[in-house]
Amino acid sequence: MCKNWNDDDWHRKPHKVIIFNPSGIRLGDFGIPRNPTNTGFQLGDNERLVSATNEGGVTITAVCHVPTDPDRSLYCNMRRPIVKGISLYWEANLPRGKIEEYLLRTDDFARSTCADLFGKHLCEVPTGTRP
Amino acid sequence: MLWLLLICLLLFIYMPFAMRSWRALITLSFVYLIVEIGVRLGVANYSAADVPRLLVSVGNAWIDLFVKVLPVTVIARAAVLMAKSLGLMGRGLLAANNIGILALPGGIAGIAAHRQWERRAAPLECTSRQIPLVLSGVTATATWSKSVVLHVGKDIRDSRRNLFSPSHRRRICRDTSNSTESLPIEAISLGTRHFSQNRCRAQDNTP
Repeated sequence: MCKNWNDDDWHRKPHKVIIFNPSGIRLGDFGIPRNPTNTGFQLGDNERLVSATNEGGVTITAVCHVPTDPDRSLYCNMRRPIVKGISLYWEANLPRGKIEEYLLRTDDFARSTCADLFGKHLCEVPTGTRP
Repeated sequence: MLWLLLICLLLFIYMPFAMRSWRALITLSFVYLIVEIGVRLGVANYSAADVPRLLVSVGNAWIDLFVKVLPVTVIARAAVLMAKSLGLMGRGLLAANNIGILALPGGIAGIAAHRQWERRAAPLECTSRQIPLVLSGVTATATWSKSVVLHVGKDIRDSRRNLFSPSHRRRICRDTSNSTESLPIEAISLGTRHFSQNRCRAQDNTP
């Protein structure tokens, strides 16, 4: 079975996941925002913050570029620290309408990728904002 | 027919070796230069649809093949003529001529061998283990997945180690003593394009 862009599990995957030392790389080279994507994030034109809270009560926040074409999905990226000296970044296209649901799915996928590398203790529990 | 084409091709490529003097070789090189300018101007000013098919084929053959191989035979012939000018005669000159003729196939074989050498796989004893990593003092292990790119420093070009590149794989093996010592990294990037191997193609979507 092949997968289409419209298929459900396609949208579960971010395009890119980067786990990085914020002071060890030039963030611009990777397209990573200078600051974590949270409520204090300075938004640009056609950008908005999208947040979703998972079953554990942890809120994930991403910055999404809103295209002018209402049929196109939103290009979103998320950066947050996971432990001291290490941050997690992902970018993905999230479909309109179900954006919060897909935001959590994408973050789950990114965290599982992180856990495969560093182990569950580091990545399994998202460091988000508890409401 | 194919043999005839091949023989014509070889005769054209080795035409510099039919030039018996400097003057003849320089004249031939000048003709090549004129053809080169003509082909480039043709490509710049006309689309393939406006030009007879034969001329398009000749232009393509010139750009794809002759421009790359003719300099070798011209330079090789010039070297032989120079040896002759310096007084090389008889068997010595014949040997120089043979070496000049073999310069092209020798060069092609050399380039192919070098590419093969560059693409040699990393040692199995290294790639059979996971890559031990350390990021900001935290240890991790990565598999040898083509979707993974490691960054060992600030500079994105020089510090990247693509796991799909044989030369980068060998470098990682060297830097980690065959995956027995941790590789300090500053970032690890995973492109998920490689995760979706069964992406639908146009023919899959027909009703």
